[in-house]
Amino acid sequence: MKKSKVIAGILLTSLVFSYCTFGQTIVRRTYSKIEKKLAEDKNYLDVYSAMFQTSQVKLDGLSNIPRTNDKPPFNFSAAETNTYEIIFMKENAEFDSLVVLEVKETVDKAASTGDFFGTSSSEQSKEVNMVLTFQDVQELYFNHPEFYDALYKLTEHLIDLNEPVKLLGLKVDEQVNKSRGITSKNNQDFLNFQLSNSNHHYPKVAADTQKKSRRSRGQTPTTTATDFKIDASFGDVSFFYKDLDLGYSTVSGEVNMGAKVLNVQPWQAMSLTAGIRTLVTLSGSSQNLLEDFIIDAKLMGRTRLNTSKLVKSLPFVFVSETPKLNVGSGFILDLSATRAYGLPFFNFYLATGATQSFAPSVKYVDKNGDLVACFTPQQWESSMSFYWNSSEEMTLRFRMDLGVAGYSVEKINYTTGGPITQIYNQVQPTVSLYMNFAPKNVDFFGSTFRLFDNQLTVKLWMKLLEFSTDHSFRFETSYISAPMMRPQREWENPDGTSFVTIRYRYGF
Amino acid sequence: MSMKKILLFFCMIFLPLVLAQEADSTGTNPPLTDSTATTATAPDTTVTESAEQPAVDTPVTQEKPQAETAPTKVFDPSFRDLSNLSPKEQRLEKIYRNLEYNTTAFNDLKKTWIVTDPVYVREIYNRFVVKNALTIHGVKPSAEVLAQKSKDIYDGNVFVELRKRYYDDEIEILRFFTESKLITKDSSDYFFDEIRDYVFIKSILGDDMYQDLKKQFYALNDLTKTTYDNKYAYNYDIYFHIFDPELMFWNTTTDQRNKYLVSLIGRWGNDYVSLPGWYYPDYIVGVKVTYIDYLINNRPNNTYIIEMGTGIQARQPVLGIEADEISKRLFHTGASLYFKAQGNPVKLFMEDMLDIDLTIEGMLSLTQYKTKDFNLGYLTQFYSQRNHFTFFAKKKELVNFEDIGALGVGLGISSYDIYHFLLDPDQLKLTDLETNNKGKFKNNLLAEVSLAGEGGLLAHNLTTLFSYDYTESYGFLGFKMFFMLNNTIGFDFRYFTSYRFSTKPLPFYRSSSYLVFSPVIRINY
Repeated sequence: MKKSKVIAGILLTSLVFSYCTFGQTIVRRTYSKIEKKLAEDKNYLDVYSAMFQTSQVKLDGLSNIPRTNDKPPFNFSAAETNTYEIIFMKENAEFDSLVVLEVKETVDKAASTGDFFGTSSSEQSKEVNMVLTFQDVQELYFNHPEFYDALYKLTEHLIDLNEPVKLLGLKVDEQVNKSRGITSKNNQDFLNFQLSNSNHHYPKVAADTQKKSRRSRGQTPTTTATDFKIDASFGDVSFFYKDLDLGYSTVSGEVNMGAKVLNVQPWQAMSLTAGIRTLVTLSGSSQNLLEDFIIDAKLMGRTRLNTSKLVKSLPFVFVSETPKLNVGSGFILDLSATRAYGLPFFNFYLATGATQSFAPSVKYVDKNGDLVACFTPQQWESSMSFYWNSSEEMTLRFRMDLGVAGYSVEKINYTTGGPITQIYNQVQPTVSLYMNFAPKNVDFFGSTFRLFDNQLTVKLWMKLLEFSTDHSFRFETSYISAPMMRPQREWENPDGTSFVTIRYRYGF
Repeated sequence: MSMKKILLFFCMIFLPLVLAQEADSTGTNPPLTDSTATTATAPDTTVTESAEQPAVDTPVTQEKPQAETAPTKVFDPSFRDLSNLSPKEQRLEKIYRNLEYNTTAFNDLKKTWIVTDPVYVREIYNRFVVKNALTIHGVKPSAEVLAQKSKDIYDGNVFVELRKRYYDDEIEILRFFTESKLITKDSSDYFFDEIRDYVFIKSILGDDMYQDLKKQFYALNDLTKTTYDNKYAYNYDIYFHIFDPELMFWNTTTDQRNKYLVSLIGRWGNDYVSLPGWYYPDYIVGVKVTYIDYLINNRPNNTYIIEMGTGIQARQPVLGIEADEISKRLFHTGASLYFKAQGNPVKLFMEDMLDIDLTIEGMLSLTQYKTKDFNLGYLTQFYSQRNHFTFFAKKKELVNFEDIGALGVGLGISSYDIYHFLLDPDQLKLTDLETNNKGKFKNNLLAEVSLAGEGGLLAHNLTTLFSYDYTESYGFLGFKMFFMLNNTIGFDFRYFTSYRFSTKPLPFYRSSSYLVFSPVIRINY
């Protein structure tokens, strides 16, 4: 009987021992995983820290704090060089209150050495020690709750004094994703586009993204850093001087060799256009470019200029034949306006001139053997612009112009001596797609695709150089295709034409 | 005898514990559950936690872990039931899985892929075997079980599913699963518990292999979900379509969340008179006003449409696919007025009224061109379609087939006229060769069946339109297919073929079949 009791006792003891060992092993390994996680994955942990010095707080119940792994009990040091940091986890889905995780001690050795010169302490002079590990703190929770409770209350007190420091390294506010691209409800997209593509001065607005512009109450334009702004290429020049900034309006000048609406390259249009451009903002008491009604208007005069022989020898214009369409003298009105009453952005272009008295630069022999000349006295275009961006970062910016355009062509027959007759005057739809690539709000690349009168115009530009933030150079090229899916008209070039230029921008 | 009983008693208790200890001694990692799964099933546990903090009693005695409802093991058997753990283990597990920034809302958007390279799968598997990191329901598998599972590895049926964290590039979940080769249904079997936490995964795989695993330079299947949204936005809508282009450029909202939209429209073709697309002589340009009775974000509630416009001469493209010669086309011969109204007017007064859309559509020619307007110097004759009228009633959702779409049916009548003109350059006006006005109008009976589905990545509309001209005893059967991907890009295809119940040939101005198509591009913000 005694033997059986002894054996039973041994078995019972073994049973209890193995159960305890089994449980402790799991717990020990979990401690190890968590401590490793706290040490290696700091950037992704949703934990906070509260810092204090012992002189700032009362440490009731926090002396001789027992620790694990045979470490001696811990006491907070009263030295001024010692700063303590409590790492904790705030309440979450599974915890209704904060959870204290670790306690660190930072010793400022530079201050402790009593440096005479009072040199400011660097990171190397600071020593960081883990005085209470995660295991130490949790064992307090389970086995010495009075110490844990004191730590808990201390942490709560520190939170009341100062906002705890978030140790999460993720910038979640900067990584907010949306599934669709965005379009701005105000003038932001319009201004972004004009700043990149317009050859005239546009005041810059300090609003990078839609989010920031929504928060700001008003966007005042930033002051220009240079007195002049110059945009020059082989086909056009524009200039602006700071004294022409009238506050509610700016005035700049432009000279160009092109002809909008017509599918012709600069210099091929055989005309010179010059005039002024004004940017007017209609605002209330304070100017807010993002919300104001903005009108960008050009008033230009155009005169004919015989470049028919020159255009074939210019190295940057590629045309297969001498141009045949004379562009008449007259005046030009080119308007762009921002959204009024919820309508889209609106563009209107009108070039008109005399239709009766005309001296052509170019005459040619038509298919009937007659000496004739064709000229276009009027061109117009009316369109609406729609903007959108691929994402909130506005790296890819799009604009689409949809509208109608038309031009008239009149013909003089010098052989028969008949009157000027109109041979063409049609209204046709026009579609233009613009795409700008602006990584981190820096203009780098732009493209335009325009379809009008069965001809496709492709324009590309790319920033080549930029130095001292005032000077930039762009490479630009333009290609106009031959007429597609219709017969060629007598004044048209049978092949496609190209134009290449370097654009210099100063002060933009 | 009593001694034997005592020994037997202790053996029954002792042996299972020895086996459990063996499982733990090899360093298995108890798999974690999703915090949301645990949260959803263990509300009592959090209540208990909040009572712990003031340290009134010792945490061990005070903590009363509630029995958690185990997550459904049918879908993911790797979830571990925390109720089997001691209070201490439970608390530590909960802390462990709540340390990271919670990204549960993005679980379906996180980068997910499956390693399919069988040799690479073995490499990964072997690392876990060597480090004894594999468990089945929290228990380390025996050598026999491991050998049996390894046979699936040898057969190449085992894959590794990985998921990265949302805000950085680290792998947060790794799990092995097997699939049957002859798959008639989803046969995925997660035959080991999933392994969580990139720190732990990296410690098992080693830094080099872990970095290699992240780079994805091996055979894999990318399961990352592509997000899309096709809800209609009301800032502007650019709808490119050769036959039905539309530009919505202005909108306003009333007090009762009703919306008015104004659009510029183009209309080319009339399916209800069996002249689709570019076979119709007029291109209608006009304005459309849409009224949405109480806007719901997913789709408009009740929509009413009014369109007004005028027809302009359209040039019919020659593609070489026409059934008959080009001379059988119709011509535009004057200014016209187009109108269309669509909606369910009765529903404005009686909310419970059947959801049937009524359409009234028509075109009236107001003027007739003079001979000189055609700019022709020779005698010729041609046909022209000048006026038409359609009344159509359609129930869009007769039966809803869920993912396939909604079955819709419609009935209606249409009437159109055909003028036969003689153009004599010496005459001022066109000569109408048919003096009997009654003979000009052709009347059609219409019936339509459609299957339309929207919402989701692909929107579609398959329609069969049956029309019968009982004045001429012939008809057309039209098949229309429309697809739109992500509400952005699509294609529209329409084919009409004729049939006759008499020996009378088709009229001269008619082709035996019509085929038209158009790409569709939409920019809607």
